[in-house]
Amino acid sequence: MVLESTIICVDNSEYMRNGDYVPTRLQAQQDAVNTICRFKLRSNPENNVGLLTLANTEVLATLTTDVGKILTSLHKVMPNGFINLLTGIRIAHLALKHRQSKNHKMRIVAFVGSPIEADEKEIIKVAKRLKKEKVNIDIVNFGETDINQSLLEAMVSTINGREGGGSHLVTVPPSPHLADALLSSPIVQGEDGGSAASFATGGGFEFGVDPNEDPELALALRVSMEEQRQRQQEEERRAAQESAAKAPSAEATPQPPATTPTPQPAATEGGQSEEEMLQQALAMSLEVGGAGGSTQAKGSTAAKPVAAPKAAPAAAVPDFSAMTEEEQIAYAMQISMQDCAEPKEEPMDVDTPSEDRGAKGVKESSEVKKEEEEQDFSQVMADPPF
Amino acid sequence: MEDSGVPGHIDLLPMVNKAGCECLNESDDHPFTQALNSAGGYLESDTDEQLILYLSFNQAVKLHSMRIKAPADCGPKTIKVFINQPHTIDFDTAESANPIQEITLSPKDLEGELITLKYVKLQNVMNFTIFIKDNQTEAETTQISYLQIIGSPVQTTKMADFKRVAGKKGESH
Repeated sequence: MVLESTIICVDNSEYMRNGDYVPTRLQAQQDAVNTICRFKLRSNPENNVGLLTLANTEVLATLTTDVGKILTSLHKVMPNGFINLLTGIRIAHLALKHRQSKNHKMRIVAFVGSPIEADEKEIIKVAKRLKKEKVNIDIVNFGETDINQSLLEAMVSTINGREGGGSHLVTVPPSPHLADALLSSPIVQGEDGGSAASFATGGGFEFGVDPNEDPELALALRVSMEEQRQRQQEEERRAAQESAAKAPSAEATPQPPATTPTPQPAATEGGQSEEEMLQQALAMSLEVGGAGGSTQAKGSTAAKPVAAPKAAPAAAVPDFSAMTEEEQIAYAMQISMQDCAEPKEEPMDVDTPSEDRGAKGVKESSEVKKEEEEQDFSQVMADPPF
Repeated sequence: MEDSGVPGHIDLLPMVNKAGCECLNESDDHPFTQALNSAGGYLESDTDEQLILYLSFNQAVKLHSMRIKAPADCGPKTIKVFINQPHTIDFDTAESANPIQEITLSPKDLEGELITLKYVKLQNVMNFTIFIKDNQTEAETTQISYLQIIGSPVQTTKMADFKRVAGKKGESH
């Protein structure tokens, strides 16, 4: 592993009193800092970690190999005022510059859980400065994720450049375990991508299952996760197209191909009718799904209510874009579990996704296939003994 | 080996330990390595006009001079030279530290003219740091299309490489 000196910047603004991360944002951060410190020091015994607060921008602990020192000072931190991210990062950079072992690489890990009140230009300027001196930065965006996302993304992408680099942005939605969410993130994965699993004592695995114990289950989970993601993208794309074409697609009844107004009837006949067929297939499958609505509602752990068949088609399937990642994983797991339980489905489900992946060039055929699959799922869900 | 154009000295490129070299503020598309060979490509700075080049040699060398080929508008102007740094220095240190030599380049120098270094101070060089402070026309970025370091190794022959053909150590013929 790389030799690295890390300064961890914790957010200690008044926003840290918020209890959306259990027990409070500040205490959730303490756990996360502990995790990161231990990981950094374990990955190389010579690594150093320092601590800095972002609200009053004070270096609480200079670079040390002693986790105890970090945690002691961290526990004394009280929520106070507003964060000053840019000043904090500059100070962290300065502290890193004066590190004793100059052969170490420099890294800043910043927790941001309150709105950044800074100009994007200033942020880019600081980011460029860091890039010039080859300082990596990992940002944990939690709490006020929506407001900060674009600014932080701009910052990290500036530092990474086009080629990509060692800087990461991790956005963590409100959850009881901020630290656990970090375990599966690139911040604790290191450059080789491994070693986090061995470091984690359970709980750190993707989907919460040890992939080594049950490789088939792990594969199924991953495959269904991927499918889900593809389907989501598909849906977004379609929604964008529909709104662009201003087609009256909000109606619940499946549309025959002729009713959809086609602005360019002759030229794009092929692509348009393909879309319509997909739409039709989706609407049909949704109706089947809607008939077994109660089963689906019970099965789905998503908080989203499953609407009656007469409602708009989009509402019949849980709205993935509105779900958090956790919920999506849960949903994907649910579906794949059902696959495993249904033996006659299994061979097909295991085969098709790999075909999907292989035949990315032949996208259209895989799209159709996916629709068929979706139909399959809804039939399985509608199955009463299930 | 490419002719250095200086009698008694050679192009030191073969003695540069590429793995030990580093460049701060190089752009992703035009990294350091493109300036070390004369065949196409150039080194370009990334976020601003400054650059730090850190060359390490795989044996001790004496440096006599160097050549820089760069465009007249965005070629380097003020450069500072440091030797035998234990690690790559950062920009603040480079600005404030006392260099072995500070050189101001004219556009003519950038056409591949010989830039002589303080030979007497560069008799035992393990690594060589060039800090490029600014460029000719204060352009956004600095470019260098070719960098050549001319000098000679301290030990021209390694006695350790010779093997005894016959006889014992200390035995006379």
